Order: sequence, then C-alpha cells, then structure tokens
Amino acid sequence: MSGRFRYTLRRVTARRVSETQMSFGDAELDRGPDATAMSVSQVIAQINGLLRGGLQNVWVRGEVSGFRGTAASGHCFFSLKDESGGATLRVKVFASDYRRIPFTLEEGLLVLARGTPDVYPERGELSLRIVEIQPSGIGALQLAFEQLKARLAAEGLFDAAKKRPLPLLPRRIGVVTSRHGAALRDILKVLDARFPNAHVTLYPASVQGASAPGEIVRALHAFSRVPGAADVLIVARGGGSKEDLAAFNDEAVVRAVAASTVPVICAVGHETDVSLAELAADVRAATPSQAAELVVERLDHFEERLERGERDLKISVRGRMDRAAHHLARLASAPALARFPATVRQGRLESRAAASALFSSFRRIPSSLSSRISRVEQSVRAWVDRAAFPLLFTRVLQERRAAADRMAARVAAANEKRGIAAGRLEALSPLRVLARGYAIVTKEGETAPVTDAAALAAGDAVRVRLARGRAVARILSTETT
Amino acid sequence: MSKTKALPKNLSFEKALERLQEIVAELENPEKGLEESLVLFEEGISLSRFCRSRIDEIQKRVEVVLKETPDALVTEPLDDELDEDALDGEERER
Repeated sequence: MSGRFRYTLRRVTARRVSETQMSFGDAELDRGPDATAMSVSQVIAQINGLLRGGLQNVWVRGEVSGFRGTAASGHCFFSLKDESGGATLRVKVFASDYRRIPFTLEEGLLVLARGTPDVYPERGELSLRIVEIQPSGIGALQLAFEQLKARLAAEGLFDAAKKRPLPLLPRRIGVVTSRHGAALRDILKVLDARFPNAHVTLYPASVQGASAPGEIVRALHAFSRVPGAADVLIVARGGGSKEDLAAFNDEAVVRAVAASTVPVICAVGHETDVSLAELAADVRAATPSQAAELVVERLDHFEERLERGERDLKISVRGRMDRAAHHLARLASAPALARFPATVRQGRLESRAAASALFSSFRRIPSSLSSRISRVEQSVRAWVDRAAFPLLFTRVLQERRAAADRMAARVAAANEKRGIAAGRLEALSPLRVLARGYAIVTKEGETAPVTDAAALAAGDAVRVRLARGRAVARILSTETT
Repeated sequence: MSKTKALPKNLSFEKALERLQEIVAELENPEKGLEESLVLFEEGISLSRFCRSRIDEIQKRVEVVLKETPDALVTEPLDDELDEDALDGEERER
C-alpha cells in the first residue's frame, strides 16, 4: 500500500519536474528538488538529530497505558498518556533498563519517565526510549514496598489466622541478629534479668547491607530445618535509618519469616515504619528488649504462679476436710445417733458372723467374690473406725446382702446342675430298668443273668429279681426263636 | 487413699499450667465431693511438680552457631562479655 503510494508520488513529482524544465529551460534550476531531496532515512536521521538536540533526556509525566509486560526479547513497549487523555506517546524500555526498575510497572500507574524520543526508521514511528522511570508522587522504593506488601498480603502471608502462639516456656531461644550489634546485647541483658537460665542460640547474620537478606534467610531456614534447635525465634536489629531496614522488607526474608516452622518474634526497632518481616512474624516487638520480654515470662512469675497454685490447692482441700469433719461431728452428736456406735459394732459383728457363716457354708467361693466380701468387710470396719454415716453402713450391708444373694443363686444353680447329673446316673441303674417292669432271671445256683431261652430246660428252677423283692419259679417249657 | 491419675505422656508445659489453674478453680466449687476433691488435689500437685521440673530442666547457656550439619547446628559458647571492643566494632560498622 505505502509502496504504491510512494510510487505514485514519485511519478507526480517527475511530471512536475519535466514541466518546470520545459518552462524555464535552466539546466541548474531544472534539476531542482531532485538534486536536493533527501532520502526518507536521511530525513529520519535528521529528525532524530533534532530530537536529540532539543529533547535529550527529557522527563515526561504520564499514565502507563497498553502495558502488557515484556516481549520475548525482554524489551518492553507501551504508551504514556496524559492524565486528561488528550495525548499519547509510544515508549520503549530496553531489557537492560527494564531490569533496573525496582517496582512493578502496571496499567494506569502515573510515572515520571526519563528518555529521548526518536523515530524508528523502519516504521516511521515516534517513540520515547526510556532509560529511567519512577512513580510520580512517591518514591520508587516506597512504591516497590507497597506493591510487594500488597502482593504478599494477597498471598495471605500476613493473615492474623496464621499467627501462632509463642511457647510459654521456651526451652531454646533462637536469635537471628548481628553478633556484635546492640540488639543482641539488649536481648541478653533483658533475658538475664527475667529468666537467668534461658538457653539462647545465636545464629549470627548481618542485618544491614547487601548480604543481609541472604544471611537472615539462611539462619531462619537453619532453625526451621534442625528439629529442636529452637522453639521460638527472635529476629532483631537495633534502630537505624529507613534504608537500613531494607533487609526486613526483602521478599525472601519476609517469606522465610512466614515459612518458619518455629514461631517468630520480629523486632526491627522502628516505631514508625513497620517492615514486612514484622508483618509476617507471629509477634511484632517494638525493640529487641521488648522481644526478649515477650519471649519468656519472668522466672519469678512462673515460681509465684506455681506456688500460688499449690497454696490454693492446699487451702481448698483443707477447707473441704475441715467442713467434712465438722459435718461428721455434728452428725455424731445428734441424739438419734447416741446409740450409733453400739449399733454399728453389733451390726459389724453380725455381718462378720453372717459372712463367715456364708463363707464356711461353701467349699469354694470364687476368688472375686471372696475378695469382694473381704473388701466389704474392710469398708465396714473403716467406716466404723471413722464413725461412719449410718446411711453408708446400710449401703454396705445392702451390698453384703446382695453379694450373699448372688452367692446363694450361684449355689442353687450348682445344686440344680448336680441334681440333673444324679438323675442321669439313676436312669442308668438296673433298678431303674426293673422299675419299668423288667425282671432279671438267674438259674438256681448261678449269678449270671439268663439272656437265652436255650440255656433253660423245662423243670429248671430259676430266680426272678423284680424291682422290689424276688421269687423262685420253675420252667414249664422253652421256646427258642 | 485415692487413685492418682497419671499425667499424660506428652503433656506440654502450657497444658499443665492451664490444667493446674482449672483445678484450682474447680476446687473452689463447694459442690465438689471430698473424695473427688482429693483426687483433683493430687493431680494439681503433680502438675505443679511437672511444671517445676520443666523449668529446672532449662540450663543457662548462651551459644553461637558456628556451622550447620545436615541435622544439627554446631555451636560454641558465646563470649558472654559484650565488651567495649565489640561495641566499638558495631559503631564502626555503621
């Protein structure tokens, strides 16, 4: 399209040139613009030169528009728009410049961009090549902080529900801070006053400077990784300038704090600026000293609490026993109970007699039952000795009676069994057979019963045994079948 | 005179202290029977002893990590005196 346009334009120009030649006939003039015309690339080169001369490193304020991140090349192309929406300027950020932007570009963000505009010869398109960009209104680091904070918050790293309670009595306190810093000194001083026996493990880490984030992350990981290395952590630094807090706003540090398997107290020593690490920690302390105060209760408070607990226990129980004794004394002095001890003694004798009678009436008492009886008896004696309540005594007697009843039922059952066995034995007795009308026949002078008629002859004398009594008879005839 | 309940095996210090306070509160209830009170009392005393033993188990140590092994942190005692030199060092660092 543009090629054809260019061709047409050239033809029109050529015709005009020839007309001019014809009318003026001056060879120098005749050659005119054809001799002086610049190529497109020359024009563009000249434009770019003018732009460099007049608009080099110009600051432009505008809203980011049409932002789609970086291209595959790593370069980034988008537009800047006036807030009013009246003007648009294409911009490009080369990969090496783009990487240096500390915050994340996003659609609609009002920015200040520094760069030089130029025309890209291939397309004849004007764009601003940006070498530096910063948010308008707030600093780039501040924006980066806000953006990271929003992103981590969206991931839930700061959720209140994620906060874990600190152990009441930490067996090992892990500390992540500089070995020679004021923070460590403050922590140790406070711990020494509160809980002199504290077991503290310091994992030294720089808390400022370029190496700080890596060292802090390493220490946090170590305490998370090694079981029992610590059951609570203090990550701390003393006060410093805002830039010094950078390590505690570092994404890796914040993530390591949030991911710690051990509860973390974070004390960065800034009342006004809350670092992201502090937001991710389970507990935030204003200063390292306060972190040490939060990490363990005062030893003497522990001791006081335990002593108070034991004292309260003793007072309660002593009061309870005093009341019970008082109650007993009142009961014992009641007129109706004047005869009580005698009654109890007699009852005990009776119950003993009854128990031993019960005992001796059976050859074997199941051990469970006998121990029960002796236990019953012991409690009778115990209660008597302690001037027990009549009601309890009655209960004991009832229990004894129930035990005796159960024993009696057992014995009856045993007896019934034995009866059945005796019945079976009886059924097998010869006398029992005879009772059903059978008789036993023996030959005179023999003891073996006759079971075959062939053994008998007419005229033999036999003895006949019946269920009751016996008879002597003579055989009249025999029949062998 | 009464059966003492054994303390749970993996009882935590927090739980023990909490239960001790619960027992103290329970014993203040006049409705509790004598027998039950004695059982609670004994449980309370053993909880208190348990807590004391846990406190006594902790031994004062301040150590610094020298290096890591796969399953431990190698430490040495920290020079307790954070003397003037150390502080000067810190000031210089700033």
